[in-house]
Amino acid sequence: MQKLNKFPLCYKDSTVNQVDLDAYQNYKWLTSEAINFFFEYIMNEQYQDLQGKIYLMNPSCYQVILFEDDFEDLKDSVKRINLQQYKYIISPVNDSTECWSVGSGNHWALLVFIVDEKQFIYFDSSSGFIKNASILASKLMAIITNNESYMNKNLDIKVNENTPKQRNSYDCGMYAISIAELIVQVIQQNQGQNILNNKIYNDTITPEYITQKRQIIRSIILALLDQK
Amino acid sequence: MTDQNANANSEYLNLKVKSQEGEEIFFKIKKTTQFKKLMDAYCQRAQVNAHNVRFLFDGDRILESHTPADLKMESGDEIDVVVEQVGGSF
Repeated sequence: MQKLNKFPLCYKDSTVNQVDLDAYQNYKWLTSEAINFFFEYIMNEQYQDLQGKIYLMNPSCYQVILFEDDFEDLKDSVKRINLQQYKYIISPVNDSTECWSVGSGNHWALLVFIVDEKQFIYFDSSSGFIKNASILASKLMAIITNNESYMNKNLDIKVNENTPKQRNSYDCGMYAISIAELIVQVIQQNQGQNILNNKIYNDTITPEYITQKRQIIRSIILALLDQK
Repeated sequence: MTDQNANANSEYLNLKVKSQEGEEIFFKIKKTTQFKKLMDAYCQRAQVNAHNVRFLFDGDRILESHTPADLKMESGDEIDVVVEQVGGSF
């Protein structure tokens, strides 16, 4: 109970509250801030060398980009991230279309933008496609190329049909962040061309792996809270 | 809202907080005041729980302990505020 008083945990650009820690319990849905913490943690603790090359998008920034329709405002709203510097932009995608409704959304997926090749790849642990991924792709392309005409253009997105599939109604966020981490590992090993090698994901990301991952991330957060 | 006597050394800034619905609320804040004060005031006015919202300045997360001076903010700068999203199912 003492730990309750220690919230929020401020770690780099994330602020973890009890609800975000609880989101990592089995059967729970991930919050955007729970995802943000994990991205911040692995990029700062495990993959610092890739910080200038890969951007694991803060879900809050994803939301800002998704719902900003004015091109100049869009560029301004993310200018401090300097998206142009990255080779890979990896973003969570949520199915919510409500810009101002707390706790909206049912599903997380992942969009990968290979900037040099102007290629988008979509990973989804269920069989659908979240339309927000298309909107995000168009806006990212507009920002990167500084070309407003991409804002409403429908770009080609390769849907990775063989993404590991969740077998329940609560693990989509865990699949999305686990795939994001594996992609970072693949790039770290200079095997960026293997991003679409599904054997890597399917061999690693099993239901047991996801359960363990939840436990590991909870332990990390609790350990950081104890250090406060 | 601009103070006619405002200059680069002015102690106060006028900042605009913009929700994703497009609603804009202006706040006057001291350069050295922690953002927690602005955030609490915003949450009260917008009737949202502080745990459920995030404040961003040009894509950078604003933390409660930051001050406008920390982020080198100027009068007229805009803050984006977004609300929590969740997901789990198909």
